[in-house]
Amino acid sequence: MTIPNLTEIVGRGTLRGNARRALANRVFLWFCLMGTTLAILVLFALLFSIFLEGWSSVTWNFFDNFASRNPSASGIKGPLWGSVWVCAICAISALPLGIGTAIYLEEFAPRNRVTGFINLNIMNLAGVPSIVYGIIGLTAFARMFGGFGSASDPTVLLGYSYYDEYESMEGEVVRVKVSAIERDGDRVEDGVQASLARWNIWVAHPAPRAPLINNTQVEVLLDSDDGSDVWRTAIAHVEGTSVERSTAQSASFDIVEVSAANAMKPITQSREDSWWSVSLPFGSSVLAGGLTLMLVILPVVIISSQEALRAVPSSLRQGALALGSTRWQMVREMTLPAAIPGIMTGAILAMSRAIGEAAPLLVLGGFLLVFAVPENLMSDFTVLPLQIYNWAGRPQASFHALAAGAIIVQLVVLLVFNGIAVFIRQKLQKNLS
Amino acid sequence: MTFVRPLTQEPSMTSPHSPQGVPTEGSPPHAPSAVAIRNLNAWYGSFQALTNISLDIAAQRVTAFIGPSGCGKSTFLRWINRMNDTIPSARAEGTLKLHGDDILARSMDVVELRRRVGMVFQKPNPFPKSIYDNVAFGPRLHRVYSKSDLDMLVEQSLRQAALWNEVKDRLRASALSLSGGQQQRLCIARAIAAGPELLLMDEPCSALDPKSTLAIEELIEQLAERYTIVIVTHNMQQAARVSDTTAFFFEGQMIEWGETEAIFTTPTNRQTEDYVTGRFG
Repeated sequence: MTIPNLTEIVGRGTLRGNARRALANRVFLWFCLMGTTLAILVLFALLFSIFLEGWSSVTWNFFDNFASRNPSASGIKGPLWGSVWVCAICAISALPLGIGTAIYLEEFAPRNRVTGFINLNIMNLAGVPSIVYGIIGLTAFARMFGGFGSASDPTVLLGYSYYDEYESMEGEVVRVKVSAIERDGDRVEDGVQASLARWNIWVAHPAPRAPLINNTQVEVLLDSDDGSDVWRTAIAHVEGTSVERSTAQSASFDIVEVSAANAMKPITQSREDSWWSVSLPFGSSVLAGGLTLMLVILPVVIISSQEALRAVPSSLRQGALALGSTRWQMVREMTLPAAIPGIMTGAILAMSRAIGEAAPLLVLGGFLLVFAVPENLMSDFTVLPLQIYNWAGRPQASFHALAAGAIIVQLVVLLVFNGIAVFIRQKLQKNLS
Repeated sequence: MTFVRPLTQEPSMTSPHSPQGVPTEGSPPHAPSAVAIRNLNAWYGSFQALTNISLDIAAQRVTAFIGPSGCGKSTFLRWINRMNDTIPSARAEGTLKLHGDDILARSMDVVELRRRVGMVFQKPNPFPKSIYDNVAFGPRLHRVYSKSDLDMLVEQSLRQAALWNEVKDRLRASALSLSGGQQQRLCIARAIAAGPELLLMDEPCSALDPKSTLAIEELIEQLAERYTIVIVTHNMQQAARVSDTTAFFFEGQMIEWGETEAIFTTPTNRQTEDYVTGRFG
């Protein structure tokens, strides 16, 4: 069999109609254009209707008022600060954890089945609906599996101060700080009398501003140099008849044992929290909310950081290792600086997702109406999406306008976040090889 | 017309260039060996990449590894500084000693090993940092230097790599702004700045133009006065030009090794002869 020459075989194929090819080309182009146009039209319709309805609500007072039954006096101060707190906690917890995980998986972990299984699971977690994370957050953070009692009566309390309140003979209420040890009834007994000279003595009770009279029973705060302080009942010894409180050191005090008989009974006890106070379980606090959002964005942060690390050419790693870097030196000097723009971009996009989440916080018991700015990790909170949900669900049109106003604020925040991400991607992405 | 002699026809064991077993004394007639390799076998998974390699790499000489692609010469090179550790399936057995220290030992500190054994890669891989920081990278990993000491170290390294005059006015410029040949010389400067005893070069000129190649070859000759150099190359003329000793690899075995001149003019093995004369490979 003779094989015909190449030109002849090329000529054998049936000619495709040029007009038909061109038509298919045009049809596909129009199809794509239609899709794009539709997306943009929907976006503009949304923006138009939102701005039309909500622009009038966005005033200075809108940012400075809490939610109220009166629409004209309502604002987003509560949810705005709630969002700030929750997102800050979310970022502080999720970013180091997520980036660290990505670095471990990409740079340290051996490539084996276990690592593959972990990677697969992280990818699956990224697709889990956020409301599921809300349930995890409720169980693990808000209730702590029931291991620490209920949120209304927490078992472990850190960073709180306790006060006994006494009423003096002049009718003045005096608050006396109680140390945690004393509160539990274990008084520190020894060494007080003998080392009295080392103590600063502050007289607090009764009647702080009244002159000290000889032989009166007073509460003194023994404030030692090492920072511990103990409240004691003491008998004052005063030269003459009385001495001003400001010169209390010129009086001497006999520490007396406080027995049930001669102790003054506090009329009440009060509790005050500091900015770092934490109680277990967390309940529906900003801390629980932030940690729940951490769960939501953790897989996203891990995956985007992994991708950024993978994009670093392996020749850089090899070069660093060949010079005698340890793995950590390689990561710190070479891989991480090269991957930081990508990691930051992913982190910011993850945060913009966290800002928009309502469902997990709703499950957690996020409050729909909050009339205070969060003060510490245990404060109640609401966030912008929850507030929008609350207002949008009401029958009155004036609340819908408020919802639209809050949506505008939310959109602007998202736009800023995404803008920063684009900026970082454009400006900081270095050419690596 | 190509003619490949079957592998079974080994050269006689009495040959001065014997590839099998312990190299006979005085062959090649060089001074102390920097790296002594005895019966090295290496695998990637179940694939045996190197079979029974025994070889001495002479100190302060240039040793060239030649052979067709996939013959195992790069694998061998990467075992000398344990860069193959980064490949999970790679493993090796046998003896590989750097001045008496067992390279393959579990107790060998690879970080210290790689400081002692510098490496230059096929494709120039300057770090995305300044020229200065590239050269100072290795020293900074291992020690803390004063600024003036580090400046001197960088200058001397760049001078030895014959790059100083070209870059002395722009040490703070990005290393990526250099040409390919300059980048490779920077990589050499970077490798010697860490104070190695041995320099491994894995086809250092294959990504470079002829002029840059010539510059690197001249540099290798100068560096051989101070360092032991092992170079893997596809270019037989290059091996003939720069090396004192040449080893020919084929299909995971070292077929023949000896003085470069002998390998290229009077090879005892037919395969070596076919390869160096360009009849295959």
